[in-house]
Parts: sequence; structure tokens; C-alpha cells
Amino acid sequence: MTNIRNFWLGAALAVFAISGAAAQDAPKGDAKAGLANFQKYGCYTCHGILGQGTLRDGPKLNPTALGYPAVLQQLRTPRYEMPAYTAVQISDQQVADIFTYLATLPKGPDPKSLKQLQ
Amino acid sequence: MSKKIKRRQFLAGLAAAPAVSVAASATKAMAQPAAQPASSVPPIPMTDRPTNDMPPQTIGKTGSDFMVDILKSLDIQYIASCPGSTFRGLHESIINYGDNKSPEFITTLHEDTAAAMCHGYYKVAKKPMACMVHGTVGLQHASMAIYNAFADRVPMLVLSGNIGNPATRQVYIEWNHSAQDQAATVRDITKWDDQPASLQGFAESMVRAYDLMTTAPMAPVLITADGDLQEDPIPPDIEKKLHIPKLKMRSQPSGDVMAVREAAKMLLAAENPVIYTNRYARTENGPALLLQVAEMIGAPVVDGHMRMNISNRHPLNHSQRSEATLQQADCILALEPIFLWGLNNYVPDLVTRPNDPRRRNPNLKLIHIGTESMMTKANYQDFQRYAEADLSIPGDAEATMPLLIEALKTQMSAADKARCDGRCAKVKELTAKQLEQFRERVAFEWDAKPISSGRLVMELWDQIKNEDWMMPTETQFLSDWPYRLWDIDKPYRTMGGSGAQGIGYNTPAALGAALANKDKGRLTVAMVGDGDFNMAPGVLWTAAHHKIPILYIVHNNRAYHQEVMMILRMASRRQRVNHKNVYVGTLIDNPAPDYAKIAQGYGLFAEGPITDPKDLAGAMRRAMDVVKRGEPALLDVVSDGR
Repeated sequence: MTNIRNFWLGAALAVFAISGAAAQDAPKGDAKAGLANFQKYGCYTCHGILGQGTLRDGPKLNPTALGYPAVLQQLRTPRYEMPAYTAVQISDQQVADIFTYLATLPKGPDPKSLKQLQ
Repeated sequence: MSKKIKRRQFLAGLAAAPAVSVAASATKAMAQPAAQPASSVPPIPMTDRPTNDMPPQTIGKTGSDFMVDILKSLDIQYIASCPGSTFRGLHESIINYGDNKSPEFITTLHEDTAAAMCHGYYKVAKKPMACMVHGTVGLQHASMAIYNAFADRVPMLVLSGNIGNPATRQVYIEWNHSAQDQAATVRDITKWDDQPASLQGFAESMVRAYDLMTTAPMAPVLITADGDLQEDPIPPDIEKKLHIPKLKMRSQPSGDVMAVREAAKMLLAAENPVIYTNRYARTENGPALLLQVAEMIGAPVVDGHMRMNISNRHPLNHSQRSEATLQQADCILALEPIFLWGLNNYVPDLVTRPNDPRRRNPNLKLIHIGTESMMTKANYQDFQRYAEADLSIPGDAEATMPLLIEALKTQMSAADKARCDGRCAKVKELTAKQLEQFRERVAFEWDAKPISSGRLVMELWDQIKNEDWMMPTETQFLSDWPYRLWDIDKPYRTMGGSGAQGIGYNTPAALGAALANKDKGRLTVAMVGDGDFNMAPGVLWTAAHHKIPILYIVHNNRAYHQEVMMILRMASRRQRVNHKNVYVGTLIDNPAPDYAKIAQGYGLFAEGPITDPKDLAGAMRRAMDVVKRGEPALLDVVSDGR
């Protein structure tokens, strides 16, 4: 059964997305430092190393669609079960780095080109 | 026995007499050596027992031979065990008197493994397997696997040794391995137990145990085989009276027919009925019966995967959009749901652990058919939270399906049929686009390092999709990708989970499943976590020794990853800033175990650690060739957390 947390989180993030936040709102970040922070702070444990999401533990992350303010707000005051990460634990700049890392990841191959997926 | 005869004290009739005489003479000869040169050292007596009181050295048919007769009558094909002196009589009878066939002795390196193999075997073979455990200590080892099977309502015959009579126990060890009440260790997690004091009692208890464990709700049973009873010869006057009862035609307990008619009425009155299944399918006929009901009433099915209930690609299977489906329901038919309360409620992992009702139709009607209330014990809390149902029907859900189908046919009007058919068509349309969405998700993570679970699962699919495969392991730590993207088309492709989530289930239970699949000619592929694997690596030796074909893939995230997330949650909640510490006690790294080397050491073909996703296909092909030759193989794949 789909975890209800995913539903609430998705709903919350959708609201942020509609509010007009966009990728260009993010402070300048460093993708390499972002990956390091993504690992250091354990984001990958629930969301996967590419932010691809896992079925039960954390949704797919789509920073470009959500925008930096929404991502920051979810991190600081998360809806539902996600633990909060305050500025004591992770700075705004580090969040910006993570945002940049996720936003610059390649899309991946066309699923139709992968025989294993057919 | 009407006349108590002690082990090692019975003269096994006239046939044994010559041997007794020979043995006694030999002893006498040793005790009274021929004249030797004088010595200052006094002769050492070989025994302090009077030579005219030596017990017999050979005997005829024994109690444990008769126990093998019983096992054969019950058609027990395999008995998994690691040897123990409290059942040495039965062990010897199985391999010699019974010719090591039906049952065949399957050697394991841990009793937990033996019991877990029984768990997996039953879920494929649909008939029980036995395990034989050493008195006290072996049973303690086996207890977690027995609990998993109990919570999963799976039968297994557990035979425990015991030396019940203090007067015949040898000093020290046999006391440590004997108990006044051997079954007390597992009584809370078995359906029934007995410690028979006679062979006739043993026969009847074994057949009763088989009958009880295979009647829903199913669960393990324990029979203690007394050491004296095993090793004593059977007096001729007793032997001719022994009788093994026969199990003849039996049925499973179905729901009350009047209540089932009411259920049909409620389902036909509903605008949006939904079926929820979890521990539902008891036989391979279960999915077909379920689909018949679902098609008749035009209801989507949401499946909890604890049994192989429904093909994942059937358009009525809405498990991948479960919340949306359940939210629109005005009537839920819950078939062996396990956690009925949890269908409509939730306890989120927040500081205060609030109880949150899920968003449901306020006029929702809940029909429950299942055996959950038919075997509830007090101590372990696997019975879950109490839930209100509008109609509760105690009974085996699969056994009740024919009654429900009949009731629906009887009550369904032409207008009902038209409405249900129309709804059925609409429901089927809703799942059409899901497959493409899932493929896009996996493509996104295709080249990830560590290797993503989606890539791992789909590379394996590419290897098995043209085979007659079976996948016995749990998938929740693999984001359920097999249920989302494989074509799980036959009623034997999967077998659900452990029951109690006792880690160390998957690796040995998969081998039990593989043993059953070997007899059916099916290919077994098992994906196990490194945490699970490390609980029972000796399973690999059993696989190699008995040539049980299975492909093990270790989904190696080098951690107890669930616990990494748990500790991270605790640390974040408490505003602890040192994130490095979340890995203390949760990583299986530094050094990283080399599972391929471990497997090779147990005699398997193995490759790894595989860290590049591009290397997966070749490694899988090579391993699959080995498995197709009838042998086990293992691949160690360094993977993302989930």
C-alpha cells in the first residue's frame, strides 16, 4: 500500500510549486558539494542517490519543478513524516548545493531504448 | 507402553541372544586377561559393571523406526536438520531404516535455517515439510523462524528431541538438552504441541498435528520425540497393536453461508466496491476465484502481497494506486487482511505517534472474511489492533469464495450485471498508463552508482522473463519493482513475505522454496539483503551439498539500511548535528564483507562485488548458466539503499 506520507508530501509540494517558486530562485550552488552533502546528511537513504525516490521511504525529488524556496521550506518545516533539518544541522548554502546537484542530474536514457524494460 | 522397558536394558527376543552372549564373553575376556609377566602396576578394570549384568548390544526394530513409518504415511518428503544427540535414534532410522527417502534428510548448519526452509517449502509445495531440532538448544535456535511461520500462518512439523526420563539421561549434557516441558519455548507460536509417552500416542499425535497444522488458520506444530521412545526396541506384543491413523477427506473452514449471502447483498448495493487481499490465496486456485468475484462485481483489487493473490498486470489489480482506490470505495471486501484496522487508519512516525484515520468514504461499509480471529494467542501481538467491521465472517477466505460466487449469481439482477460490467470496464482503464510511468522512473536511475534497485531488478527480469521462474523473496526493500514492472503472471511466481519480519527469513526460506521448485522444474531467483544474508550464510552450504538450484543475489547496501533511516530520524528529531554517528551500529562495512568469497568458500559459483551496473547482465548470464545446470550460484551486487 502506498505510504500515506507520500500523498501528503506530494500534496504539500504541489502547493509550493503552484505558488510560483522556480529554479532560478535558488542561490548559486555547487553540484559536487551538493552530492557530498546529499550523502553526508543522509538524504540519499530515503530518496536514493539520484533523488529518484523509493516506494515506501521517500518520494522522487524534482527540484526544478518545485523551486528552491519550496525545497527549503519542506526541509526546515516538513509536512508529515519527513524529519526536519534546521539551520543548526544544514545551512541554506548547503541546501542550495544539494538543490543544484539534483537540478543538474541528467534525465537518463529513453526507456524505449532499454531492452531490459520491455 | 503397557510394560515400561528401558533403553539399553531390553533383550530383543531370542534373535538378539547370540549377540548378547558374544558381547558378554568379549567383555569377560577383556576383564580377565591371560597371564602376563609380573608388573608393579595393577591391572586397570575395563568396566566397573559386573560382567554378568551387561546390557544387550544389538536390538531389532525400534521406536524411531516406527516414527519413520509415520512420517512416510504423512508423505513428508524432506526433513531439515542439523544433528543432535537427543534425536540420534530418529536420525539413524530416517537414513537407514527409511532409506533416506520420504523423508530425505536435508542437512543444515543452523536450526533457524531448518525451520525457515520449511516455511519457504510449504509456500511453494503447498504441503508441509518437517524440521528436526535438538532438545532445548536446537529448539531455541529455531524459535524465530517458527515465529515467522506462525505469524505468516504457514504450517511446519517441528520434531524436537528430549530425554524425558531423568534416570536414563547421561550425566551433564543430556540434562542440559532435556526439559520437563520442551514445547514451552514455542507454545505461544505454535498451533499445537505434544510430548507423547508411547508409540501409539506418538502416531496419533503426529496425525493430529498434521491435521491441525494444515487446517486454516495454519501454523507450526511441535511434537517432542522422547529419546527412550526413539531408541528402545518395540516389544513384539506392542508392535502388532500399533496403528497409524489415516487422514482421509478433509475440508477447510468456510464462512457461514447466511453471512456470505449478506455480504453479496452489500457488495451488489455498493457503487464503488473494492477488494483488499493480503494473506488470501491458500492454493494456486485462489487467484482465479478472486478474479471471478472481482469481475462479477466490477471491483478493483488492492493487494498486500503476503500471498500470490493476483497477477500484477491484470487490469483489475490497482495495488499501485492503492490509496486512491481505497479512498473512493463505499464498500471494502477485505480477504484475510491481517491488519484490518490499518486499512483505514494510520500511526505516522511522528513524535507523538498520533492515530490518524485515513481519508475514506464516510459511508464506507467494511466486510471482513478471514481466519485472523480463529487463532489468537495472548502474548505475542501479531493479532494487530482491533477493528470494527460492518460484517465479519470468520472462515478461510479462499474456501468461502465459492459460496460468495454462488450468492452473487443468485442475487444479481440483470440491472446489477449491466452496472457491474460497465464499472469493470472503467476500472480496467485506470491502470493502463502505469507501466509506462514506472519504466520512466527506472530509466532515470538506470546508470546510478551504487547500483539502483530498479536497474538490478530489471536486469534480472531480462534474464528470467523467458523461463519458468519463481521469486520467493520479499521486495519491499527493492521498492517493490518486481510487482511494478515484472509480468507476474502465474499463481506460483511469488509467495509473499515472512509474516513477522524476523530478519534472516529470506535467505533460508528461499532455499526451502527452491527445494520445492526443484521438484517442479522451476527456476528460483532470490534477492536478499546483506543484513538478511548475514543471519544465515550457512544456507549456501546446504544449497551446494544438496545441489538445490537457486540464484541468490545479495542486494548489498552494506548496512542495516532501515535502521540507518531510523537513527537518522531520531538524530534529526533531536537536532543532533553529527551525522556521522548515524552509521554507528548500522553499517555492515569497514571491512565490507566479500559475499562472493564467502559463497565460494561454501562451494558455490559466485561473482562480486559488482559495482558497475554495466557488469550486471554478464554476471547474471554466467550465474544463470550454473543454476540451469542444477546448482546454486550467488552474485554480490553493491546497491543503493533501497
